[in-house]
Amino acid sequence: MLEKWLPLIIYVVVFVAMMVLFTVISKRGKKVEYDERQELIRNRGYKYAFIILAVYIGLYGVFDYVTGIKWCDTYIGCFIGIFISITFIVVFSIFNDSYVPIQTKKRKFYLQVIFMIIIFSSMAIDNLFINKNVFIEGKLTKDSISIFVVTMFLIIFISLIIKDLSDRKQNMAEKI
Amino acid sequence: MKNLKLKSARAALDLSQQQLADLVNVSRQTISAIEKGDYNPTINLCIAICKVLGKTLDELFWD
Repeated sequence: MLEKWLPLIIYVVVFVAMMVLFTVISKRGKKVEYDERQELIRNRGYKYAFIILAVYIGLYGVFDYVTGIKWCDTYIGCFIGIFISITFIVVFSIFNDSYVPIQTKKRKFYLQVIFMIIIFSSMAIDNLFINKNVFIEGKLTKDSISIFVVTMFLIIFISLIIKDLSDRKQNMAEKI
Repeated sequence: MKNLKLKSARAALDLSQQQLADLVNVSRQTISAIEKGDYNPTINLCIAICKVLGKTLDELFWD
């Protein structure tokens, strides 16, 4: 009985712990600050991300209903939608200069993203090549989650680099 | 439409976009977007920019 509810209990505990941690950090640390243009763009990004998530969940449900093909666990199916929408909002914000708060060094963001890539890459490699439990009976399992996280952070990292390079060119042109 | 009046007022004080952005507490890209005419700032930001550059709203933001 407990085994059945254990993932949900773990999820709730981790979620509450993260919320408490973020609240403590945001109260202690410097307030994250975006200017009015950045706020507008981020709000637009959240709107698009919500639509993308809704469309994904709709398609996921319809595909499952119509074809009956189970290509992944429901758990991982939901998380893929979340990853897609999070990746969208981050990339959208990066390319509209609204990801990094004003007066914040970009290096900090690079380090955070690289750290996450390293951590989740090791988990992804472990699941892909050592445990080989990413696919079971042709279905994506919950152990593939690390692969999606790595993919998400790689996309973010590449977006940061591309944006940084284009910013440098623009800075050179606009410097008076 | 480009805001050349803002650009020239900034240049007259020998301020870079980054310096002006720091003074009015926005990102450099926001100043760039205002100068290019890609973004219409709120009245609060317009006033902040005018105060820093020693100009009136009419001088910088009225055609």
